[in-house]
Amino acid sequence: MQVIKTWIKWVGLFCIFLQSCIYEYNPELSKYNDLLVVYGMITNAKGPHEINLTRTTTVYGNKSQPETNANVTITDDKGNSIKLIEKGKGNYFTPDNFVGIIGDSYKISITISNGKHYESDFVKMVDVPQIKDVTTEYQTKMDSKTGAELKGYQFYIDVDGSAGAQKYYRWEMEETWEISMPYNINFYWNGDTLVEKTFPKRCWRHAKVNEIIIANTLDYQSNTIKKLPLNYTTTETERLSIKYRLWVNQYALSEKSYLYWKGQVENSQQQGSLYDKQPYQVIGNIKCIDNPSEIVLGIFEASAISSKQVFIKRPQGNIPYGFETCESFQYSALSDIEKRMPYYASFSLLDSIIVRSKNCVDCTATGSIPTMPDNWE
Amino acid sequence: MNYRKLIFILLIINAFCLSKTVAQKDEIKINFAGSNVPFIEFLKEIEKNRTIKFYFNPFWIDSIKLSVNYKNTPLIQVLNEVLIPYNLHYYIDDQGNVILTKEKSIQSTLTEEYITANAERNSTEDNTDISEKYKYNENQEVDEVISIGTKNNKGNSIATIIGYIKDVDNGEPLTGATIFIEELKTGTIADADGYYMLSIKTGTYHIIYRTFGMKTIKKEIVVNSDGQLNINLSKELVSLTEVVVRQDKYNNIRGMQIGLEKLTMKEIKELPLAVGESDILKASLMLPGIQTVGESAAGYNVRGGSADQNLFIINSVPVFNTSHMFGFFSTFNPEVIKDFKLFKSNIPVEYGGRISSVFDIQTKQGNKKNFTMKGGISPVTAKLSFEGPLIKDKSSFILGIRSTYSDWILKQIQNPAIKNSNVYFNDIIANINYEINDNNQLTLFGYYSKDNYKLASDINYNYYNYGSSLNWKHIFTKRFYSNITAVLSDYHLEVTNNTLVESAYKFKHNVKYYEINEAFNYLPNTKHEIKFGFSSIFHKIDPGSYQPINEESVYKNKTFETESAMESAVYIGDMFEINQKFSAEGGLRYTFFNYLGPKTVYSYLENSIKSTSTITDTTYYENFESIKKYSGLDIRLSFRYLINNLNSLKIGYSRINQYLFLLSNTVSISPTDRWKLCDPYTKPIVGDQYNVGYYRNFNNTNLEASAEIYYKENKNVPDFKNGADLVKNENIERDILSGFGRNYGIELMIKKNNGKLSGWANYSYSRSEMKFKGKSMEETINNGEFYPANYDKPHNVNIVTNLRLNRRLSFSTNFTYSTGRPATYPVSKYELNGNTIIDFSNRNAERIPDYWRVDASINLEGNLERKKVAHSFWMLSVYNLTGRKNAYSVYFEQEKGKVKGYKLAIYGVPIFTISYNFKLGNYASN
Repeated sequence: MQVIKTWIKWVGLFCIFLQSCIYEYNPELSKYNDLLVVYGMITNAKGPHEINLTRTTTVYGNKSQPETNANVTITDDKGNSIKLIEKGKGNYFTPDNFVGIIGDSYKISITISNGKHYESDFVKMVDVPQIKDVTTEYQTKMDSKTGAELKGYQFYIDVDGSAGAQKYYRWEMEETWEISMPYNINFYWNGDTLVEKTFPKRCWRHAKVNEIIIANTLDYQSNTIKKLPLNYTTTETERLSIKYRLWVNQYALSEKSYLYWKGQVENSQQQGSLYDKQPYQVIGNIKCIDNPSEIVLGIFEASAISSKQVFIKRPQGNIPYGFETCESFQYSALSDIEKRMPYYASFSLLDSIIVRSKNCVDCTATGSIPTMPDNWE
Repeated sequence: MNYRKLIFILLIINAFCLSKTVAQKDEIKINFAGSNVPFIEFLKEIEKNRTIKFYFNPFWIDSIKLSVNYKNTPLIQVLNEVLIPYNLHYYIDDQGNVILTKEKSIQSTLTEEYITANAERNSTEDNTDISEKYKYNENQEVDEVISIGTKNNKGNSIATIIGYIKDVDNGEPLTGATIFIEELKTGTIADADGYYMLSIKTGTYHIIYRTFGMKTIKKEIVVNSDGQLNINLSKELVSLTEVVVRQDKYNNIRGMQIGLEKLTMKEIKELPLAVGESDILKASLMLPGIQTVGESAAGYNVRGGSADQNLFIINSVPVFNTSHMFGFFSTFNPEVIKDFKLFKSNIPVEYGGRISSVFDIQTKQGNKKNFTMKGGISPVTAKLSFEGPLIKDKSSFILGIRSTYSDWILKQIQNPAIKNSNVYFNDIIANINYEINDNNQLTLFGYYSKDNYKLASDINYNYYNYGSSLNWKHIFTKRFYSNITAVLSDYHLEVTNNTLVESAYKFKHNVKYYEINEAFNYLPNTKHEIKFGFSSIFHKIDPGSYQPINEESVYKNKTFETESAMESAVYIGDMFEINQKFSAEGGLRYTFFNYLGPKTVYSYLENSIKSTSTITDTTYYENFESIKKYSGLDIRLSFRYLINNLNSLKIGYSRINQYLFLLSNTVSISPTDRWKLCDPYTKPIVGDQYNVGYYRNFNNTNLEASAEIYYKENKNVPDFKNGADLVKNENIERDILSGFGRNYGIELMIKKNNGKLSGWANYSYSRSEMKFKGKSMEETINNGEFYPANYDKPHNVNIVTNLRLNRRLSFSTNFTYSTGRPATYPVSKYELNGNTIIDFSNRNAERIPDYWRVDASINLEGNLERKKVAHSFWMLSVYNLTGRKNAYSVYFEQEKGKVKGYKLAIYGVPIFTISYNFKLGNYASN
């Protein structure tokens, strides 16, 4: 895997060295398969656990449509079954008190609104070792597309799995970062009156790291993983402006599940090099019972979970802030600013009014939350 | 579509234009009066102020005297009147050369070749003293009668003449020189050592030795019994314009071979190329039926075959990785290469083991008379070669060294990522030969090529090939000789990953190849040419090992079991001239493959997917214990029907077994792909090929045209399961699929070998389709239906032209077009756990955009002074003149839920390069 990843880097280098390059090219794609996509994972943590049912959409099209009003049940190998409840379109949840048991096997059964039946294979919930450590290193990297130099933190994970037999891993990451609005305002003009108001200045933002990270220890001396690279967070965004947290969830995979994710990695992250592999349709463990030749995408997984969080502060030195530039307008009289409503204003020392854009004063304006997240240090 | 048609029509129009110029020569009118004027004076008079020139043997016409009064009489009428009474004939070519011939019988193939040879010279000739002198000194010097054998041989029996044809200047054998008996209209071709063998009835004949760029020699011989006749040919005075290597003038019409491609080193050197480096393999892409997956991709696809179905041999040494710098160059230094043959079908019976093609490369032997040195520098490489005698006229050597200095260039670039890179390669070719006596000759050859690179990362790739061959040629009798060759080849690959101390590892792969082969040639009589022999190869492949390279590394030391096998073959072939019109060639090659221990072999449950859970038994085989045997009968069959001297028709069939293949699941082969032997689970690949060819030479021009049609079926073609790890895989049999391939196509080629404007144009329609229908879904590709292979590019057009403005300046252009290769495009997208996933369906259902490219180059030779220290050659070339951004690949990526397509273009701009070559001595010295 590492080998192929470096090929990709090379291409970026060729761009500069031989002036070859990558150009956007969107060929017409006439074929389209409308297929059911199932994804869900149950763990040994407290519920609710979520199963998503969606349909594929056209390649250049919009977001996929949910598969609503389906009947979804999870059955264990002892014959117990629970029914999932749809909350929000296409999202089905187990009861809050549902907890997977390590060593038990589970399968999912789905009946969609047109009456078709789908079922997964039985999946055994396997135990997962604790995360030993999540570490960081401040690194400079090259953007493989533009060749630009990036600065940021590279995260690594260490796992001591020597006690167990687990060989296949997958990690999910959630990042949370603190932001602070650069300006104070004195007044808010709602078009009618000048209101004295303060806005939340300190906020937190959450995002899922949309990168598939998997590893296996087949070629390792033991099931111990040392310094496996996770995500890379650059100073190009606002993420590192104050404080940043990476929350890592670790799952244990079956061989089949591992190969499924490996296929997704190969298709999505390893194209555009001199030595591409053929991309292919990655099929998981779900089948259509009524029509075995119907292809069902997605996978149903069961794994124990272990988690760890790590905090980093804004790196030292003169680094770019990563903020979008704050638009400011300066006016000498109140009457001049009436045409820009509503506005956020501060009076400067020179008795003129400075108007800021909302994104620079109200941290909730771009969807951040002004409450401190749990476990924030 | 229309575009392609247009090109073809243009070609045809071009052909017509050429024949028109010939017609215009007939319009010359003569005004002349005189009595008792020697004919020779008359001809000189006609030549005055005209472009027309006469070539003849002065002996024939010295007695002719004219008493005439011509007024506006057409030249043709004059010639007819004067010459017919003396049984003389004439021929006028498109250059305005009039060639007088004595006997009517010369209107055979001989005439045609003879005329071509003349035209070759004249086309490049200027009005200088040299040509004047040469003119009256025609090529046939029947100065002495040579007696061969002892005279007391009775009756009309068969005698065999053997001998070596060499260059008088440097003793270099003249491979491919033709030997022709005028009276019998029969002949043969000299082999790689310049050796020839010819059986004829005793009697008196005229024998003609001829090869491109050399003076033709005609001798009168009296053949009494078996005997030897060694001939040294000297360079033609006008060969000043020719470069280095003589053309092996293979006769398309008479030769037995179908699907043979030859490029002369001169043609190769004048082709404009990407980075200013002449490259025999890249040049071969301009021939019909040879393709790559993409620009600069390593690996060649011959007539729809995969890249590992080609055998690359240099002086009998197989080369397992022919690419330098990720495939941008080939590993064969053109400076020391003499001859390059590419067999696309009906591979001669002495070769075997690869089903698609043989790229047979012969190096020079080295100058036997003088020391000489050559060198060159291009933007990426520098090269030097030396040659000279070790024992004058007996033994010589040649040494060629080439290295890149791109490493130095990289260091100059002010980018930290690039500074952290290195790209290094070099290659060395050396050859020594020793003529012990007339009957024994030894040749020792060595080959080495190495690549080492690291690009903006801490992963270092290092691979090298080395090989050696020792050949002993022994002549038993005048009709029987043999070549014994011992061959060694070794390929190493090593990848070192130092990115992180904690996961640093080293991966190694090694292929070893040892071969002994003996080839016999035997001429029982004039009608048969028999060859037979055997070869025995010991393969040893180390699939690799993984090693941690420090104490911190998490990797364990993982060593895979090596695999070994004996691949042996015995063969016999006969070329049988049935009569003047029909010839047949047949060959049988029995191959025997024995997969040997030591090795652990798993048995799996029948009719189930091979996996750890279906293992039924584990067997350990001892050292050299036979694990699995395969054998196969290779067949070669071809017939030639000579319609007349200018047209022939050939048909052929061949079957070949292949026991070695490449583990590669990338679209274009990667320099780090590994080799694998057939084993109990992977059966040999069997390739059948049927073909028909029609060949035509156009009489009054240098044009030769051919049309070939082929159909191929390949059984047991390997492919791999989706997602299979081909590197760290101990049980690769679990991931190998076995399929069926069929390839078919038509190749049309027209070529003009000589003249001011030379070059070729070809069109091919070729398809390559695969079918993998396994026991389970994961062993099946595209529902078990035929789908286009990665290199299926149906329409191809290549046009190569070389315009020689004068002796020093020439101008070359290439045009190439091909249909875009197949690619797998997405059919839909979906959300999966927050990630946008692109969904793919049938493999290779779509195609990337069509490819086309125009290149041009200007070649400038140094001055033509005869005595000087060194001669230089400059080449300025522009690759991709129009700067077209040809797609190498098209791929898709998602960004924030939106899918975007991208194309990768390797050379999206015109690439200008300048290269300089020099050699010691003057232009003509080799």
